[in-house]
Amino acid sequence: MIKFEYLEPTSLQETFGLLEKHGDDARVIAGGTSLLIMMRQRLLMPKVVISLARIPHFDRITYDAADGLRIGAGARHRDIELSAIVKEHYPILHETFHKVAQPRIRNMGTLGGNLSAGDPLTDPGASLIALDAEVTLSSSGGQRTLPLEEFFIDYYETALKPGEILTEIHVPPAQRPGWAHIKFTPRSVEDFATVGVAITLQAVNGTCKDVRLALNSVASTIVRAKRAEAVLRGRPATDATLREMGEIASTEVDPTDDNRGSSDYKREMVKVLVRRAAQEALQRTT
Amino acid sequence: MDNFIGKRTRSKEGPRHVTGRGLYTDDFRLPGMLHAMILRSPHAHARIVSVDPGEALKNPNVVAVVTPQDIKQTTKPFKPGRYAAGLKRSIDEYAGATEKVRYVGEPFGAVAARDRGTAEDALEQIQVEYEPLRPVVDVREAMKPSSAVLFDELGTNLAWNGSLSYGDVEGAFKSADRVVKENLKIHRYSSTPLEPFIVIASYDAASKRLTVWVTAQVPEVIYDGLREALGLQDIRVIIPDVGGGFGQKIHLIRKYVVLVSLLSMKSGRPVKWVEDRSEHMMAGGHACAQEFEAEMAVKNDGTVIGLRFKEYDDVGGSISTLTIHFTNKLNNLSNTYRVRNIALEGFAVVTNKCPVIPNRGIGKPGMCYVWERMMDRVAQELNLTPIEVRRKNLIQPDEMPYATPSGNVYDSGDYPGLLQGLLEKIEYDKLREEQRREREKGRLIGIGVVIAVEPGGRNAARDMAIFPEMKEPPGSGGVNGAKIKLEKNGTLSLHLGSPNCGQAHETTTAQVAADLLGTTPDKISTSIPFDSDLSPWGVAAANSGNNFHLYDIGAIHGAATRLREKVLKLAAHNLQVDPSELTIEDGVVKVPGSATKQITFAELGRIAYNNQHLIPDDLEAGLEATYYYTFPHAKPNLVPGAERLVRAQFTFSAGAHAAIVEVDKNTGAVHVLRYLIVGDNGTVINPDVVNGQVFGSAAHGIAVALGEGFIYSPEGQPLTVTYLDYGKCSAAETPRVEVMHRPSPSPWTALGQKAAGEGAAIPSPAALASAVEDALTPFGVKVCDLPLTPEAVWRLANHNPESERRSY
Amino acid sequence: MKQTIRVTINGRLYEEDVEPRQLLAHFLRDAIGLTGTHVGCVVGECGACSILLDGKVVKSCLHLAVQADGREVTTIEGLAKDGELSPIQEAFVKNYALQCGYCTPGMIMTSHALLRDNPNPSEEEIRKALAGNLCMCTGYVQIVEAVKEAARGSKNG
Repeated sequence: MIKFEYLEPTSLQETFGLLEKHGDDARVIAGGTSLLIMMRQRLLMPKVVISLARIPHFDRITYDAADGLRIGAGARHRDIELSAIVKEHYPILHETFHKVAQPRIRNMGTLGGNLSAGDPLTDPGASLIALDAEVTLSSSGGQRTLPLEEFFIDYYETALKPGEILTEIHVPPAQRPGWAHIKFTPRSVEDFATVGVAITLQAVNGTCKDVRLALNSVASTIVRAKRAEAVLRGRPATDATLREMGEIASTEVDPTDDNRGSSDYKREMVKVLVRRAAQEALQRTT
Repeated sequence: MDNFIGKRTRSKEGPRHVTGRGLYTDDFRLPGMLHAMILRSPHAHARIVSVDPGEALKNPNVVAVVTPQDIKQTTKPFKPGRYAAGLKRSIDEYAGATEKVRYVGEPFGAVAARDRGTAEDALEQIQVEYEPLRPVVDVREAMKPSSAVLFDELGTNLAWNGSLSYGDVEGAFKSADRVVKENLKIHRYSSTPLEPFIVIASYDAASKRLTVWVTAQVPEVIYDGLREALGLQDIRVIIPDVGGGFGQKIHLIRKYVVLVSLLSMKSGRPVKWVEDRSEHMMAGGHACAQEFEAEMAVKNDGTVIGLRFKEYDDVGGSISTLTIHFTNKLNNLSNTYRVRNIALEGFAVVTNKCPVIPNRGIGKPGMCYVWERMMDRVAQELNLTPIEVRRKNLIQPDEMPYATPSGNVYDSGDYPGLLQGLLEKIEYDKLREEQRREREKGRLIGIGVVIAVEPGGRNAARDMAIFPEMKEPPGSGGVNGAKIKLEKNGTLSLHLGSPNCGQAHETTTAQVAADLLGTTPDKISTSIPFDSDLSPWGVAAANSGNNFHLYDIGAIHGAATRLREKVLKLAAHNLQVDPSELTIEDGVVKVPGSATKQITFAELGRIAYNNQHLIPDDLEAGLEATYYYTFPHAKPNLVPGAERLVRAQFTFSAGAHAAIVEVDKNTGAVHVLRYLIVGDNGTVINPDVVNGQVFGSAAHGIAVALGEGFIYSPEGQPLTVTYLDYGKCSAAETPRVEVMHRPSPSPWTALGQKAAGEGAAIPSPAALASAVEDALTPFGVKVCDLPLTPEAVWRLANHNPESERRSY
Repeated sequence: MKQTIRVTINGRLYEEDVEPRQLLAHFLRDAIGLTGTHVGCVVGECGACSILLDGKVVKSCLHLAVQADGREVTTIEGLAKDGELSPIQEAFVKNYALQCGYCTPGMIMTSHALLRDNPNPSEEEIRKALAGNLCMCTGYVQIVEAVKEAARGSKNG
């Protein structure tokens, strides 16, 4: 492990000051589950590590029927998984966070840290995109909000600018009652998904009114599959439509070969799993 | 007398481990101890042009560096072992590479600093210049003349080729009704013990004495390795608790023991090295990828009359374990079958991958894979059931002891009984019916039934069979010792010849000693760690479930029997009776029925160490006995003669396995619904311990079949250096293995015991392959290659062959 | 540059100077001498280093020691009281839920936390909870049995 200085600011203002002072030499640490590994492997070599652990209320989870869900960036995966309001109003999030790595990691890793890392293999982003989530990015210059689907730029690259940190995730009141989340991990459940599919949809008498579909582990970012959504939106959800939806989704992804499977295989699995996810979500609407 | 043998008793290892008081090598700290890091190759194949540690040594906290020049100048190569005996020209293998690196992670130097962080920094500061060479990754490519060559001395990557034939193989194939052929493949994997390699070396220059603490499995390999490489005579090897072995900690670890010892000699201080997980995954040793071209000569009724096969072994970048996976085929060459005509030819091919090591079963899973896949194939071609074909060819219980065509002698076993017991347990016919109904509904259920022997014991002379030019056996049979002492306070202390790594040596030996000496296991303490200065060890000293049952139990049995005689003699003298009148119960020696004629162990202890007057003249003072055991029935064929018949191992456990799986055609995911074993491990000394060995070895074989494995890029870069990338199974995916026992005790061991360590790892890959193939019957698919990753199964089910991308 | 931290470990307060780069697992082992916390992978996959941090089970190889400042740690050494094994420890001994013992402390810390939060887990819940703790020896059968037995014991007692 490399040498570094460790700082624990107690407010966001203080954090922004430290980020400005140290610039590129600094990295922010929340749960540390991915940062420490990258530092051990010398992929990241910050001189200063700034912890967000002492920032008050940074892990708060609140809900309001009109406004929806607000999750502080410091909330741990396990907190979100076990939150009663999440379970009641956003069952897809409960299910998704239940599948992130395993409890030891969920007790440590934070949602803000997870999204900020920009790792396309992780689970929460797809389900949050399927729920139209937006993120608040803050710096000494103020704050801005961004739809989550626009936050991911490339492998390990997000819309965060130097000096900026992700402070809050906002999920509007759930619009579509049907949902499904599939984390396809043919090996250990502890592993990253080979293919991850999150879908929310609304259907009336078997016709899909609206739908959001997002996938992880199959492109350089977590992606929303808009053209596949368009296949289903406004149409009766027949087997043929769902099959077509899967086919189209598989053209919106760009998986790579890795130990979990070849790019061909993953593309094929997108077809299968998108169809299965849509079927499962439709069942939940009836 | 069987108060404890065969019973559930309280674990003696458990209490210290559940409280965190196990003592592993990493838990030891010596005054002034330095911390080492190993310098490793980032290239699969390269010439080392120069190594300059100057920058690193500028830091005053960096104390010593070992470079390839140091290795070449201050150490000697290891003596070529029996697995390198077939080389046409001998090749020097040092503890680290000296001129060329031949796999990613190959060690060629080391650094010691006052703390690990500084050592890590120093490693980065050592300037190394490489001349990269063309990597050799694929076995078939490696054998072509156009390939780059790993060892210039050999001029080829086919480092060894040889063959053996038993019976009349030509004749069998000529008279066959049909010849069934198949190419089969088993991949690279390992048991990846949770505790990585750890070494502490402390050299005392004044007395020229080297002490090492090491998490090793076989003391002899370390002891000999240090002597050969460093030329030292005074060596002490201490092996504390070992956090898992499985064969991984036998061979390659000696290199690191030498490198760390060199650092200690250079610095004059104790040095500790702790391997990183990624180092272990890339360089800690892999089971060999084996490719087979198999042919079976059969009669139309399903009788197998001959087997011949070629085996291509991808042995990686070292010659020291060149033939180990091939020569182990002699151990279970006949599996459970009475086939008399068998021929095999081996090709050992060096590649720029991690060297192969003796992982749990060492080539035996491959041999079993050949037999059991071919039996299924025969059934398919002859339109018989896989059960019929197996039954037709099984060795019968009334043929025991059974001499196999290659010279093994099976001590005991009821293979038809094991198979029948399994079929009854899984309600085979009902299950087939259910499978048919489910298939109609679109569910793909598969049933795989296989059977296997699990040999135990050791015989280094085996390897002479494949090297006829070898004149002297590299040792033969096995020896290990045990010492037992009745202490002054009436308790017993045991000193075993072997270190322990989870096979419950302490619990099991205490059960045996307690029964033989008429006391209880709680009054027996076993000394740990292993200490080469104190432990009564021989060549078979190892933490190996494969050897423990024979040599350690044999030695404890012998020592306890001897001590019992002494105890009775001393008691008889003091009670003024004949020893034959005495019994021992709960630590009291007595004449049955008499209230006065009795004497306790504590009283005897005080006499034996204290009171010459009460010791008979013809009895040695003290109450201690040592026994070195060799297997008394090791002949004939202990050393191979002209016919090359050899006892490769000595006891033969067996097991029938059933895997019941469900395959998702659309994703290729395989779900194990049930996994059952009916096993024969001979007399079971402790059912919980034996079951634990069976559960663990089965779980590993299943995980191997379903996808865990090492993968290399076409450039020879390892792509699996973490547990996640490697695909290690957790509790969530591991099926709940069910075990039943149907023991046939060995007539030749002290208690009828047989081996139970490698056990279920031998047939389980074959069982899974059989079950998955069975599930895919509607698609007319053959399963030949492991691993059965979801992608591989999906490709099979959808007839979508994979382009060659990566290499296992 | 070292920083001073105050950590309560198994009920006792320690004040130590640590380098920021020291992992909590190594701090417990090297600075405090609690070697029951084992290190098997150092990248958060094997679970041998599982401990309780403010009551939650975490992997101490993914934590810096400085992050534990002001917090409470329980390690495997903190479970038995006066030589009396805790119910989950006893169940592991009784059921032979260990072989080499290297994963055992982490397995027990995870099981301990599981049974505290869910006193009556199903086999599937047990297996999922243990998924972050790898064992290479046992095939998990006897470990799952031990957790079940400890759960039964806590219900009866």
